[in-house]
Amino acid sequence: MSVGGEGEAARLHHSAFCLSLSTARFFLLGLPGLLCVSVCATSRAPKSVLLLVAGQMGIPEVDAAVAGARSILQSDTSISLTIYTEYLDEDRFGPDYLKSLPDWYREKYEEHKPDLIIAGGASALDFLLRSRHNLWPNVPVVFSAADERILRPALLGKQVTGILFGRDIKRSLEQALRLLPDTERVALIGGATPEDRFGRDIFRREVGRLVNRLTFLDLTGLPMDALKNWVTSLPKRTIVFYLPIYVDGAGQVFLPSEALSTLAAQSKCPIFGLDEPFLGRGLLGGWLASYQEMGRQVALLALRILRGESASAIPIQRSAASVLAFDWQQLQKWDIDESRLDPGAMVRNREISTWDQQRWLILAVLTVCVIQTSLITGLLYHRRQRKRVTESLDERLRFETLVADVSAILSNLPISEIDHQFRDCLERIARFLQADRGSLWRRTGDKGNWTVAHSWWAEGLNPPPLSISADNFPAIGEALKRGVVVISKLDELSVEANLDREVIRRFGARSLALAPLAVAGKIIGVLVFVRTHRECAWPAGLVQRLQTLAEIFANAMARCESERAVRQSEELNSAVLASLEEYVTVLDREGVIIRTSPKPPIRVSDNGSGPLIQMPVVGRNYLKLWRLVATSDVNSDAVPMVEAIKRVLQERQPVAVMEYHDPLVPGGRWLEVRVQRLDRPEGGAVITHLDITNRKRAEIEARRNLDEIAHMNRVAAMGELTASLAHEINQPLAAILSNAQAACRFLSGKSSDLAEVGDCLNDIITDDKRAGEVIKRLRELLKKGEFQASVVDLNEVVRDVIRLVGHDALLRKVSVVFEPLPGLSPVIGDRIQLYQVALNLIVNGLAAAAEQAQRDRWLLVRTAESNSGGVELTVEDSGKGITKEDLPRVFEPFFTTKQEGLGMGLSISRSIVQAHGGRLWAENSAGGGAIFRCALPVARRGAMVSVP
Amino acid sequence: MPSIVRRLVGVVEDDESVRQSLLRLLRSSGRAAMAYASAEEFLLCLQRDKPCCLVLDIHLRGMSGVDLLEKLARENVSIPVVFITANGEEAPEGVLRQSGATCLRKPFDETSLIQAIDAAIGELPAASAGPA
Repeated sequence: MSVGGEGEAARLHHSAFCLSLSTARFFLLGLPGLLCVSVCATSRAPKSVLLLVAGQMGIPEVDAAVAGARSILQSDTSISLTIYTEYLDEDRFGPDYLKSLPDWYREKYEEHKPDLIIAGGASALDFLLRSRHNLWPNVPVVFSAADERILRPALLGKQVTGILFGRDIKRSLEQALRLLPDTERVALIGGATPEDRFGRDIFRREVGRLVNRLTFLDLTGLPMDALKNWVTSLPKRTIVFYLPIYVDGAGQVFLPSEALSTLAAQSKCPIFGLDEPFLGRGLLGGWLASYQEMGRQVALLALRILRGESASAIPIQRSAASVLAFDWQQLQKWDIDESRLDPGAMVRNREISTWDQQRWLILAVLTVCVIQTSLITGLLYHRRQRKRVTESLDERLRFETLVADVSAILSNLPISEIDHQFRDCLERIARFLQADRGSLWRRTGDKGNWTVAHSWWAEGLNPPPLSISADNFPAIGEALKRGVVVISKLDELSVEANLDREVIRRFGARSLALAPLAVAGKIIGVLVFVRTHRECAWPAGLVQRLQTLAEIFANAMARCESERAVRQSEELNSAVLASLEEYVTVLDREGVIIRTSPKPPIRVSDNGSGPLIQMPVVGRNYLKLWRLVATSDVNSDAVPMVEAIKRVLQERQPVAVMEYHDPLVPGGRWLEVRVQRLDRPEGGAVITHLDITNRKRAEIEARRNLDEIAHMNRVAAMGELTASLAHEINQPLAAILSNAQAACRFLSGKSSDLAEVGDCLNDIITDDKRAGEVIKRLRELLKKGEFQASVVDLNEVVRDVIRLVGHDALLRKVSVVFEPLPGLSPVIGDRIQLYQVALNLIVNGLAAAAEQAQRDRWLLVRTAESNSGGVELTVEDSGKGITKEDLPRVFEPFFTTKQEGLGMGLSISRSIVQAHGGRLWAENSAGGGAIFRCALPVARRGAMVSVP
Repeated sequence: MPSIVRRLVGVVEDDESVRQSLLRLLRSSGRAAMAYASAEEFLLCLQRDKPCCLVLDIHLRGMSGVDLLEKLARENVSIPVVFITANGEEAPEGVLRQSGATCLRKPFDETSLIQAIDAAIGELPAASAGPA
């Protein structure tokens, strides 16, 4: 170690030195390691091992040993090995074969010299040692054998080591004797080879060492057939030990396991063995040598040598690779309980029940099965549930369909099909409910009798009774007031319902379901469904269903009733309409016909000449029909008809009565059309058409007659008034003559007073006209003429009459006073006929007054407005009045109190007044005279009096 | 006092046109005439007018012609009268005989009328002063 300033460098040097030293040390020490490594590296080159095995492949013990060896050899990954395996198969092929083998091997492995040979079995070792000089002389050999005799040092030489496996005969025997204590004999079966004999000897020795009482039976080296005989005839209390038979006494080669199987099948005694591979082929068990274990141990030894140990340095070992194992089936066969086995004993070949073998599979299968079963059960259950639900839904659906059907049928039921459809529905419902009878009972009268309105019953059964009294069913009747009654068995009825029960039984019903039909709280009927064949419970939910159905039926019944009522009232209406003489049409507000008499008496013409051009039927517009007629200009009466109908429809007028004349019909035709407002919110009108042709003709005839008679009367009256007439005419005539003559005188006189002449002439003209008027009036009065309507002022008429009769009145010294009402409303009538009436009355009055004393002669004529809106003409005289007997007869024709005259005047006057729509009557005045009153309707603006 | 008694003819006629025509006729024949529409009217004017002759319509409103004559007779007024009538019937016979008057039926000719008037007047004494 250097000190000083160079310490740093020295230290570095030191470090470097140490380093290099350690490196050297490492290398030195590690060299072998490295060498080893290098050796190992170089020994990475694969080594080859040859397994030379006695026997043949396929023998279980051979295969087990080989497998054990291989597994160990290959487990060491640090050595890469190539393994060759050769089977000597010396038993099947003769010694000549064996002789030629070495050459053949040498040739074969010329290029593949084995680095180590494992000899399995004594014969393999023997072969190797014999041919060692020229076959693989220096290759280490590791053997496994069971034969001690091979331990000849001379033969062994160098590089040979191995393991001697001994059979654990002693322990096996002891085990066997423990298991079968009353054993007396031990038989030994084995092959015929020298090795077999050697093995036998060893065995005998062991047996001898044991209990003396055992007899040893030597069956080795016998031919198979003899062996077979022996095993079948072995006495009791004998156990057999089996040594592998490769060759039997007859020289036959066997697979030891097959030989064992054959013998064990026939053996009467249990066979113990010493070799593990045979367990399961008939051995009961024991301490068995495991060939696999042997192979393993040998391979371990081989590995040691391969790793570098010298074979010579390893002493030959002894080992017993044996296990205590028993065959379960044999245990069962020889009835040995497992618990008697030594602890640690393995029991092989347990008859693994299918359960043991396939436990998991079985479990799995079972589980699957269980799952499947539960699934199936679940599904089945579910399906049942579903089926039940489906069934119940199905049933519900069927019921709902039934209800819908019944409801649809019954809600659109025309009355004509009631019976049929009700019965149909009853049948469907009864069948659905599985009842034998279904009926609909209706209440009749107030007394509580019920009659069958509709019913259905199954074929072959009795129909239900036609009617029953509610007294027979007190309990049920009470129950019905509360709702649906369901009786599954008659015994369900309470004790108090004895009467009910008896009656029901009498009618043959065993189960009943009744549903009341109620409308607006009143029970109008009962639905009854009955089972007569058997008593059985009605389905659940029946009550509700019956209620639903009952409602439908009740509604249908109520509707039918109301329809029937409507129809009856309709029929009544139609019958009434048909019975009327008039043809009646009912219009709505727009004029459309909504009802009409069945057959119109009105003739409907094709050429537009009839009153109605088209047939009036419901739906046509009546107003339009009339408008058509009005526009066709056939008859002017149509226009006011249209107006009148319109007025009534528009509610401006409640009633309009018109007469309509159809001139184109031959002979003429008259209708009285009366339009009356319909008193209802929707408005409308009723129009009645009455054919009044006959009446009209009669009227016309009567009028014509009247006209004639009136004319006659006028003529007669004129006759009576000749004085007046003459007077009336003579006056103007006289004036004319005087004026004319005066004018002549003026003209021819000394003073031509032309003005006077002019006056004369003017007056002449006036008087002439006056005279002309009188003549004209006279002519008018005497004319036959027909009724001519015009607006007439009664005051004027009376004045005319009074003027006419004035002279006459003067003659008779009757003072005539006229008190007209100024502004009197005019009347509509024939002027001449009204003049005639006034004339008649005034002339009569004059005549009556003239009979009185001179100072008591007066006539009072008055006009006034009457209370009822018309005008009244009053003629009061100062005569002696009319007697009580005569008063009613005064207006009779040909009634007169005068000596002369027809007596027609008053009757004609009355006819005329009545024809004018007025009244003419007589009474006595307070003063004793007669008063004649004539009332006439005032001409109303707009009122239509159309008369032909 | 002596007054010139003009020959005044009174006409009592209720029909106006006849009345007027008679007035004209009388005037055209040169006679003075005065017309009255009714008997009552005439009576009122009698004192004033004092006609020498009356043309009297038998049928008058109110008092008739015959009644007027009777009244005059009762009051001792005698005036000659000529009756006229439009009526077909004649005046009551008794009256005619009593008064001695003629009755003319309308329409009558002027000649008939004037002759009747003259005859009626001529029968009277000329100076019928009466109680002046």
